[in-house]
Amino acid sequence: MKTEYDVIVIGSGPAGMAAAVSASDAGASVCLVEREEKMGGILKQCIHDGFGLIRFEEKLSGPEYAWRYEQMVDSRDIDFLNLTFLTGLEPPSPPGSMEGSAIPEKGRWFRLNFISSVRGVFSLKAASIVTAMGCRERTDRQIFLHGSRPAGIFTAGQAQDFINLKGLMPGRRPVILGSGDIGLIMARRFTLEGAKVSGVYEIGPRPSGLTRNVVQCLEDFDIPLYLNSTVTEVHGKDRIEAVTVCRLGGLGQPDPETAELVECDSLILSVGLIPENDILTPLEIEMDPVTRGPAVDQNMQTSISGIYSCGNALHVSDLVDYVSESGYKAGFAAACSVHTKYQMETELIPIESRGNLQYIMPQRLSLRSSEVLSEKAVPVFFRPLIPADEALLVISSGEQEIYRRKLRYLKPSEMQRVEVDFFNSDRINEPVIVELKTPAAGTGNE
Amino acid sequence: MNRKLTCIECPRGCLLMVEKTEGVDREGGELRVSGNACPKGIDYGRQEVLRPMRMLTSTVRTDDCEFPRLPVRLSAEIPKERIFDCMKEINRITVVGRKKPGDVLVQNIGGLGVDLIASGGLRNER
Repeated sequence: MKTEYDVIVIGSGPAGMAAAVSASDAGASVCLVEREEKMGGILKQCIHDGFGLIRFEEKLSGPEYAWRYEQMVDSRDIDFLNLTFLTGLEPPSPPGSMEGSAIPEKGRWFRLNFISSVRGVFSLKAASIVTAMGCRERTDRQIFLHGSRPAGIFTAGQAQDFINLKGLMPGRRPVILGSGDIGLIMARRFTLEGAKVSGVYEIGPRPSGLTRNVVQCLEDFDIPLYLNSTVTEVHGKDRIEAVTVCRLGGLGQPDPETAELVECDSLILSVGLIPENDILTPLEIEMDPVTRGPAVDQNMQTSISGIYSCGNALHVSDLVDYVSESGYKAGFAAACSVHTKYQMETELIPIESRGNLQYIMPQRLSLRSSEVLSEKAVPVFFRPLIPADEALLVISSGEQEIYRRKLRYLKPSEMQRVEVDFFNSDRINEPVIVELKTPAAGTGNE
Repeated sequence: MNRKLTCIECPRGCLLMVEKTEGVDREGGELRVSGNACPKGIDYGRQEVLRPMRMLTSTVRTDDCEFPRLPVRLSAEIPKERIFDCMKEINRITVVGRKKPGDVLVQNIGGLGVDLIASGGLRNER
């Protein structure tokens, strides 16, 4: 088994599989590392359909989408290490401080330390790294929830794992807190398996999942959705017996006057996702405080040359198609960088957001790389801060307007993607400003 | 009879009102859809009132102790009101042996005219 690779990809979910495939196709030697037994990441337990409409122009289930990529990985010369956990990532030692024979002419090596039940503790070297660790769920420890902590409190993804992979029911009378997509999908899944969901409680004024899921997962099964409402207290000694739910008062705080006891045998939390980038913390990579992923250029390169980020570790996406797309870009650029070293000479222009934008990704534009990688349009992703029936997206740099487009029916819960040709116009010298202009009060469509 | 529903053809999510005029043949189409911003809303509203169709995905038991469930789906959508009948059939099944996505597990499940197919793999050695 090899110990040195051009590209090592961390995580074999949809982003990692796509990155491994594109890096391999670009001529790199690739190792794909996975902590679980099988490839596929979260797709393995997402048995519902609706995946791949953009990528494959078909409505696939999660496992079917993962299967297609697994076939692509298997048919290439990609080393797959399963049940292997990354415990540390060391950047290349500064030039000059040679560490024995480990510095080849090819470039500087990252050292990755792993532990596996099969191979024990070992390390590998890579010229480039693609980080595709995905995200994890917020838990009951991260939200304000009073009362005891009896058995029966699960995150939605945990419940999904129990039902769909293990065939075990976490409860028969669940209350669901949070209306994220997994929460909505689990409300339906519980119902199909004979459970009675008493309700979905959402603290915000609008559902945080896609409209399609509100309709097909809740309305289809007459599951009530309570907006501006939350669970404030958990009751039960060994097993959860009930929760207190409250409506929000004028100041956005739970109003005790509206407190109501709802009996249940489980509480399912769908209260947000956190990109899983802990392994990068010691490297002091520049992070975007809103996405909680690394700040990257259009090739998904982070602030450290040779480290790329993609998928939900970069920013949490609604659609797996976008996750795969970022994986492709990261894998391709990681492979190219090994040979062209474009990252050494790159000139970075910051991309800043104005107006009603939560965030913009990529966070900077790499000018030199655009020549090396000969790309055309750059996919730019954003989420609006507020719902808007009509909005105007304007992208400019100094006096130069690069892009202008009217957009309709924007919602914070639905990510937007536009393709922008940054390299067709004059050379960009000043920071790129992305502005989303919305009419005074976006009413949305609630 | 009036029904309110949310159109899911696009992210706008129009709130549709579907009104049925009495005394008119059910399939004949005297269904008035309002609230839609585009023609897709009319088709969606009519379909939802006349014959709502849904895909059903679930899992079935396997004989593999490490991977005790295999994800499954139907080969086509079925009428919405038959979903729970279909779930009963699905929960009766145990699959054995090697499976890959697309393998037919049950033909014409529950007499619905659609097949139950595997949507994941089982025992596919690398």
